Amino acid sequence: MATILPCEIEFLAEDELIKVTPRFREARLQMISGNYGPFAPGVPLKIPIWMAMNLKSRGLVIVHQPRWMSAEKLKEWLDSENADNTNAIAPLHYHYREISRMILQNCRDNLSDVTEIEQLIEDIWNVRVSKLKMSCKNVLKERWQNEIPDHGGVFKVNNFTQMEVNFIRANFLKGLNVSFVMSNKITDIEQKAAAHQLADDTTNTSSFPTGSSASTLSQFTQSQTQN
Amino acid sequence: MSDLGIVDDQSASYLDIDDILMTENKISCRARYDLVDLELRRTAEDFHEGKKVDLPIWMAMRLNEFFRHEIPKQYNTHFQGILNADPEVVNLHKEGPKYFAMGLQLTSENFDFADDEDIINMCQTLLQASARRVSWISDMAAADHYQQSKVDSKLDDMEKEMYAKAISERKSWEDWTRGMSNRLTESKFIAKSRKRKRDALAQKNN
Repeated sequence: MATILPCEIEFLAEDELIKVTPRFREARLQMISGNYGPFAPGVPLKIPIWMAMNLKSRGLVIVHQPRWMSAEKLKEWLDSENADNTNAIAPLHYHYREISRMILQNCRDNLSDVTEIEQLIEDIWNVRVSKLKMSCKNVLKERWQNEIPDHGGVFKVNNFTQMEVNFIRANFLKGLNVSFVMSNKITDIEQKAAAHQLADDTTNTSSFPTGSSASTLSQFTQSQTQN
Repeated sequence: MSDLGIVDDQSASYLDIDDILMTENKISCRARYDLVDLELRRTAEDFHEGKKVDLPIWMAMRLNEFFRHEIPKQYNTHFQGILNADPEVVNLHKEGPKYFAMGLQLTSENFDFADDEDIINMCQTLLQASARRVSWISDMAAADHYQQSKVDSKLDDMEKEMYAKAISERKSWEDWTRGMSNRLTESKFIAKSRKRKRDALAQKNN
């Protein structure tokens, strides 16, 4: 089962645009991912984060704090996360964890409230991940009580970012696989046991499709919304 | 043993080393009829009806017609009760290193146990126990490093793989949060070969 590394997700997040103020003059750059407009000192514009980090490390730009990354907004988000015990709130930015890590590592002098923001992001992450883990545990514990459909079941996950889902991916998928294999085994032997019992009944000679109820149940695509 | 589904699949399990090791486990069997001149244990013996012998699973499965099998001790009702009560504490490594795989193998048709219902119950127990242990493993993997060897000695083979993977994922996550995943490190292969060259030179000089 292939998984994706956190640094690879960060790589995907680096394509997001961020506002910067350049300190140099340059004509329009035509790159594969898009055109990034003429750079003039003091004129803010939006460029992708990978470009921004590189220019920042060379001292050529000033990075602006993203609008969603202010202490007040993050505090609001944390409070609403804490208020709701099972669901996750829609994140302020889809890649909040990666972007905040990159910006906090490279652009500390351009930001305000750095330590507070670090703490808030950490707290938000912990709360969300613990909610996700709790849902996973519940799913694993209760999964075998219903009939698991042929394709293994479909689970919907709302409002979680790519990074958080990747955090639990390996173990959760393993657990789902194991319970799937075992549950299929159980249905198999139950069907066979039922077939043995019916074969012992000498009254009915017409062919009775054994285990038909079990197989029709498994035709249902059972999608459980996971909150 | 990462994929339990291969237990049933003849072509997949033929060459799989974990499956071979698992089917090597012994099961006690009783002869059904009077068998004459069998060489199961390297010498020609006669079996009266009901004589007990310990055969490996792969042999016991094929000799289904001549032997009645008994459920091994670690899958019987008493042990099922223990598993149902508290699965996280049981030392599954001691009960046969491939506990879950062997349990699934025992449910195949070729076995003839005295009590069929018990097998169904055993499967249910295995399923519930595995669900609880899997969540316990993922919890343990996120905990401190001090408990690692303690936990590791209690897991059976399938769970050991899960645990190792969870630990390595957690390590790569922590490296990433500290920003160390962008560093270039020397490959272990090169480091070892350099050290050996240095050692060889030092020995020559001495």
